[in-house]
Amino acid sequence: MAGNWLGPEGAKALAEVLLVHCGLTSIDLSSNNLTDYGRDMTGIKELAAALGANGALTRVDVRHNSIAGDGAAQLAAAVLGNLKIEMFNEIPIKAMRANSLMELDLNGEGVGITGVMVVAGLIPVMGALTRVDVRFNNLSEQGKEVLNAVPVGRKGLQLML
Amino acid sequence: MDGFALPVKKLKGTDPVETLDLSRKSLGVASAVVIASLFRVNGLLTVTNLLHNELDAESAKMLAEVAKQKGMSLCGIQRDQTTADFSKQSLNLPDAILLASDLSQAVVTGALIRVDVCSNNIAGEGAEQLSAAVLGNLKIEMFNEILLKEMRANSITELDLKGKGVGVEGVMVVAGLIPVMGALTSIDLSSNQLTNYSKDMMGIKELAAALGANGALTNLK
Repeated sequence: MAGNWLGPEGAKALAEVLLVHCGLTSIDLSSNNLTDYGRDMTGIKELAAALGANGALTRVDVRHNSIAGDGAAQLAAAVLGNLKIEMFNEIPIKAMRANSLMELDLNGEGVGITGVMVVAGLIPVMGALTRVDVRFNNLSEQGKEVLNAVPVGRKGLQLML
Repeated sequence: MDGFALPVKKLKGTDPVETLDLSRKSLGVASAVVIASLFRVNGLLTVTNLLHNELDAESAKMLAEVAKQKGMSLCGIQRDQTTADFSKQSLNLPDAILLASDLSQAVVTGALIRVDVCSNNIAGEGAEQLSAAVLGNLKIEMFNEILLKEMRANSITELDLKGKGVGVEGVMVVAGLIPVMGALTSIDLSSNQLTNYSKDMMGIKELAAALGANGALTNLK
């Protein structure tokens, strides 16, 4: 569905699908202006609610949709709370949860603030991690702050912002 | 009338012809009223082309009503024609209504198995009418780049329509066929014009409603 100008209304329509469809394991809604250039998070919030209730999805991509603010926070919380999701915005959630990564390379992947929030939420369980590269992701100061706040007091973790 | 002298005798049938091209003649509503009334008394004319004029939706519907009674093409579709390419022609709503009239009649489409209306930014009522006509005409095997025949036969497990210029009318056709595609596990509709730049959400909403009822689908991109 990527690249179709689905907009906030499209996000809501697909959120409804996720609420009733128990078989869908992968959905790509990237590059769809789901937030009307960052002005309307209503569709993202419905998607977040649907992700919170969906028990089948393993792969979700909502990159390049200018998701920010509480829309990003709700979506990140939903992703972190859904243990079935293995890959979100090209972030290898499953491997991260399993603490099987020493390096997390998300350089230029367009993970967005939502992605950074998810990464920040998982760093505490990634004891083996030594390096995180999130450069070239157009992160706002908010995104950098979120990530910078996590490893305080943790030695041996290199953050590349 | 409307700056063009209507060929009244041909329209009426007193100078009998089977085909009459009146496309791009700046014909407006008044001309449409006259043409529709003359069509009613013409027993021979089977193919006309009234596309790219200055009709409105109501006059296009009036012409469509007569055309359906007469089994007449309004878009120049010959009965032995197997393909019709209307892509990239800046078709507007009246044009879409005329085309929907043609495509809704198996007698008019005759041998036609492939129709392309890609890249016309058709939306709203035009998309609704066109998709309904295409879904109802079982002879059409391919619409835009959509493989109707295979979809109807439920022989597709992965529907790849990536970057195929699928517009609102196309996604409505896909939505209409999802219920019979029980074998479908994957759909790729990326990089299309499903919403006409967020201006028309009708198609995506229909698709969403249809997807909710398809239990086998696992991958949506």
